[in-house]
Amino acid sequence: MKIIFKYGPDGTYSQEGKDFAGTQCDRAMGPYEKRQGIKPGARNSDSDLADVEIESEQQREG
Amino acid sequence: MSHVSLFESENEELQVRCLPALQKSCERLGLELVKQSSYRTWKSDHGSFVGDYPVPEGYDTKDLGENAEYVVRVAGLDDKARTQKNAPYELGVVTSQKNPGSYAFMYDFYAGGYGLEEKCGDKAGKLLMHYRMECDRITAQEQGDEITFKEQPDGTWLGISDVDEDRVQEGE
Repeated sequence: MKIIFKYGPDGTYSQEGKDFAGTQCDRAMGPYEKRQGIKPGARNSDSDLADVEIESEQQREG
Repeated sequence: MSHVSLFESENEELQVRCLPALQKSCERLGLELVKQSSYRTWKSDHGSFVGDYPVPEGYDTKDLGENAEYVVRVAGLDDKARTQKNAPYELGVVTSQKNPGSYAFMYDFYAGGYGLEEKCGDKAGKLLMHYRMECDRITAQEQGDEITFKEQPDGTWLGISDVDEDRVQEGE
């Protein structure tokens, strides 16, 4: 079964085929949510921004 | 000049929440994502904004150029090239006030951001497009699938994924 995604630089996005709703990305929380302690149901998970490897952040923590 | 604008999609699927995907999309466009709060604007070169353009709703002039959680900047520049007059402006990844839990983009688009828009597209549209592609790639990988991306002559992209039909019918 083929799923076809279409992406445009003008903000258009569509997909044909099985509903391919994301999990990883849609669970990720932004800093606002984290600071406010908001738990947005399906989006809440152990997968959050702390997993992101960004050089300066690692240096700061190190 | 002070053309710092806020760019945020009304489409929930195009609202930025996943930093790993944003980081990958930056790499694809010759950009880099760094952890810092300030980002280059007109004010960086001239000391202050002129005040000839409306400040995005919900923000104050003093926020502009200083309110990022992360910054997207052109990759491959040393500190001197990055800070000299008319060096590429930078894009602030700021917390969305409209959509809690999401990020919005904020940058000075005067003179195309001196090269920034060549990379990230008008209204950061190219960056957002590649962000969504990376989100879908991550999701596909989670499910054991792959997406093949092909650029089209008009600048749009197609992604094609062959999914095991039996697995789909089982509801996985």
